[in-house]
Amino acid sequence: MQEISFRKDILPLKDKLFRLALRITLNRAEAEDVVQDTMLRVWSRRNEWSKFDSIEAFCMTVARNLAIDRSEKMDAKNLELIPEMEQATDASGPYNLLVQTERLDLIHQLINKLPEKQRTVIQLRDIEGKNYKEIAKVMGLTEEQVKVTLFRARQKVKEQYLAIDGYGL
Amino acid sequence: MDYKNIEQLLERYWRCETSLEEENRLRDFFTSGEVPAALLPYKELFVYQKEQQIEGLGADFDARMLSKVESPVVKAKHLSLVSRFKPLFRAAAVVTVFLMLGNVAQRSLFHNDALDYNYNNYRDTYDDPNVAYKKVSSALLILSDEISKSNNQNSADSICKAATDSVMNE
Amino acid sequence: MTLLMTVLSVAAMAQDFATRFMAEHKKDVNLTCITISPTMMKQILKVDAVEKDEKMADVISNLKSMQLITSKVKASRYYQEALKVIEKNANRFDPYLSSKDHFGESRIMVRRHKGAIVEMVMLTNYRKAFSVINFTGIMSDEFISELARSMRQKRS
Repeated sequence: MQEISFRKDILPLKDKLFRLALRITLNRAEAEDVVQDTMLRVWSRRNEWSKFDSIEAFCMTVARNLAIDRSEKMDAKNLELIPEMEQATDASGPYNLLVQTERLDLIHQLINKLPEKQRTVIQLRDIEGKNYKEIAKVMGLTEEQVKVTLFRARQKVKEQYLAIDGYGL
Repeated sequence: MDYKNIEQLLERYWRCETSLEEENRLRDFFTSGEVPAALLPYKELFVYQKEQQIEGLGADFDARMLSKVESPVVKAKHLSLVSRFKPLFRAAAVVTVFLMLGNVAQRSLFHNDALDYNYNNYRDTYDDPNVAYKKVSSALLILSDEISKSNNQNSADSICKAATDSVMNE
Repeated sequence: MTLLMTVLSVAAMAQDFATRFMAEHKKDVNLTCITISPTMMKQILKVDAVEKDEKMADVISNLKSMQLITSKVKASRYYQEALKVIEKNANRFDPYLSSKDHFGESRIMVRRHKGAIVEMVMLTNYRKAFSVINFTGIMSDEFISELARSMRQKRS
């Protein structure tokens, strides 16, 4: 029987899990709680670990589900994202110097405005560098569905970003 | 990485036909500094991805977690407590404003008597220094971006040298 | 009499580029001007993010003021007008850098006084937007070229 330790196998996943939880809940405090809850849950099921192909995928699945639960409870807050984004671009008068930091802010907000599935796919692919198979496992989708979701997400971000930033002109 | 190659990669990226390795190459290209003008519109999309990779939790999280989990006797195993500071969202971007000013001795020679501006009529746009700082760092970024991409870098250096020479001779 | 006094006071105390430019566009609603005074600049030094960043703190401690002018419309026209203001004050400003590409152009000008660079002006007409970034402060002669060099290093 393989020796699995919390320190060695679970704790190192904290950053990845945090990033995923943050992308879904859009709230640092909530995301940290999600990571904590995830780890405690996974730890409590350590007897079953040998059943899993990938502990990491399992952790991410749990984290995602917990994060979705939390964000559904926070739904009202998510709607504030839209006015928040408009706030960012109007913050200092009718025209903002769109420079690198502000463009990055803009992209951040555009991605966070996407529906959860699209946000998650972007997070797992473009930031965590997971392959379609892994992403499919975490999200409970087929690989084809993952690809379609990713396609839509990337297109949307690109179009909106270019339109707002004026590059599309 | 040549321009045509990147253009093709980009096209395939939007169609989700790129491999992970190819996507890494795209990110490396766009964060490497020399991006041709036609591709500039896409730069920040990839800079963003790279920067988001450094998000994470601090070492204090580890401590809290470990105290909640009943761990067996701690052997002299190496603890991989990687301490990461919570990045300010702008940290990476701001840190790239890497300026080296002339030495203090040189500065103190000129100090305030060189500044002959009348600031009495300046009316601050912002009350909050945090917001003001945002603007200043943005402006410094544009400035440094502009200077580094300018193809007149050689002439800048010679102007600088000429200026230094003239100062020395004053 | 008042005219004479105005002329005298202008001669004794300098104004930065942005102030001059905005003086010629007083009622123009297209232009937004953001001002950061020496007082605010000092307060910025106490901002958390700056206190923790030695290099940034070092830079900002040498900047005295900043003014930013932007317009989303008539970029080319404003850019030309800005160049005219520079020309009218040709003995104050030295051209420093310029660049041009498919999407627009940019120019950086400096003013030297008693051996230091005391003012930096960057004019931009880019992607149909006009902007002026205008710093005053004590900037050493190496300031600008080091800026570019370290940016390249940081990025590679």
